[in-house]
Amino acid sequence: MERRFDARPAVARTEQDEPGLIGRVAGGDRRAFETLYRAYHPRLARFLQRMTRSTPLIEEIVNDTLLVVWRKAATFNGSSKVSTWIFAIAYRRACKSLQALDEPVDAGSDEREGSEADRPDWQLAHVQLTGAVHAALAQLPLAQRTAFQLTFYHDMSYTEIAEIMECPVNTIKTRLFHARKRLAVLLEGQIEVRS
Amino acid sequence: MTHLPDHEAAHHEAQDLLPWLANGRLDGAELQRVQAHLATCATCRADLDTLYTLQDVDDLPAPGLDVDKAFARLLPQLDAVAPADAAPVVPGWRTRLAANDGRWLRVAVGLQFCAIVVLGTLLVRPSGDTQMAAQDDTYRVLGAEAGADSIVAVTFKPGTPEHELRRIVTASGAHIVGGPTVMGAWMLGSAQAPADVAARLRSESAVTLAEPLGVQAGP
Repeated sequence: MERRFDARPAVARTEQDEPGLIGRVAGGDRRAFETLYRAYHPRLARFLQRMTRSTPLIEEIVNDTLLVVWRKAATFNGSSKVSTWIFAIAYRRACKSLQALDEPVDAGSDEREGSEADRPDWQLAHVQLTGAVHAALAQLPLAQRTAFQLTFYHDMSYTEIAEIMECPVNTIKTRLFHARKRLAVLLEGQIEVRS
Repeated sequence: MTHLPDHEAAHHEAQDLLPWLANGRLDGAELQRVQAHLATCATCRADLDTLYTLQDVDDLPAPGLDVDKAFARLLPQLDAVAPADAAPVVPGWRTRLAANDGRWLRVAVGLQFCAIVVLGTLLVRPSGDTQMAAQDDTYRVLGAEAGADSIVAVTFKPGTPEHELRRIVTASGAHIVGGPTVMGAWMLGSAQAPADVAARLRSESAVTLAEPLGVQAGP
């Protein structure tokens, strides 16, 4: 229990340098942009893959997002962290893309849940905890899944998540609360999750 | 207004904040209050342990994207799009040397607009049945004025509301015939001289760019 009790998670080592990078990007510095691109490409791809399984679409959204960063770098005013700003752009782009494709953005559309995950006996012994958790997460509504993902896999604060998802902080807390309750049901017997 | 007993209120707060205690993003008074509550609440301690277990499950591996190839695909777009409203954060000489110097970039963007307009015209123009078009002189695309033939590219400040955008376009004597492009530009058509339309557009504070792209022969 004591682990990580006070410790801040390891975040990108370059995070403190990122406002400087953005400033250089605003001035048209391509090397700075490439540094930022290489830092955020994998992070955004990992974030987006819980919204769509289409690899080409993920790449398109990542590139669209970072192109916006290139164009709008001068508008970054430092009121939030660079990562919050960039993830917010990616989240909006992804929602727009999914809406344009008429893919449901508020349901767990996911190939994982199409087969075993939908069956009541999906908690089979051979399903490993990792697979079970991923399958359960895939069944959460998009808003809850995104809040959960940004909290646990991207180590963001509720303030940052609220900014990314453009909603009040209390909404984020509520989404996490409901996500935990839903996971408790979905993972019953596999992980000790209380509701 | 009902007041929860202190312990219950602290429990509710802790329950809300446990995810951020687990990820280490809680600090200050909130951290102290939650830690104090945890010392007295076995339920919250168990929940925190559960969250740690969930957190220990690795995230999905990143999809197999090739960063180098993806960046290479983006590079041509960097050539075409300058950082917007780029404040000279970097001293002038670096800005001037930057590959996206606004002076020649405007020309490049203008050429790109022209290419878009030409391609758009080829798409819209009736392909083979010109006789039918000739027979029905009154036919026109919805929203298009008869004889509209001058084209102006315009961009607006980010956040310009849609009703304001419509007002500006209408006041300029033009109508939207295309866009937005990848750079957020709209193509306007008008029966009036393109330079006049562009001048009226430039007088609007929400307009960041208005460039006449020439005159098109009507259908």
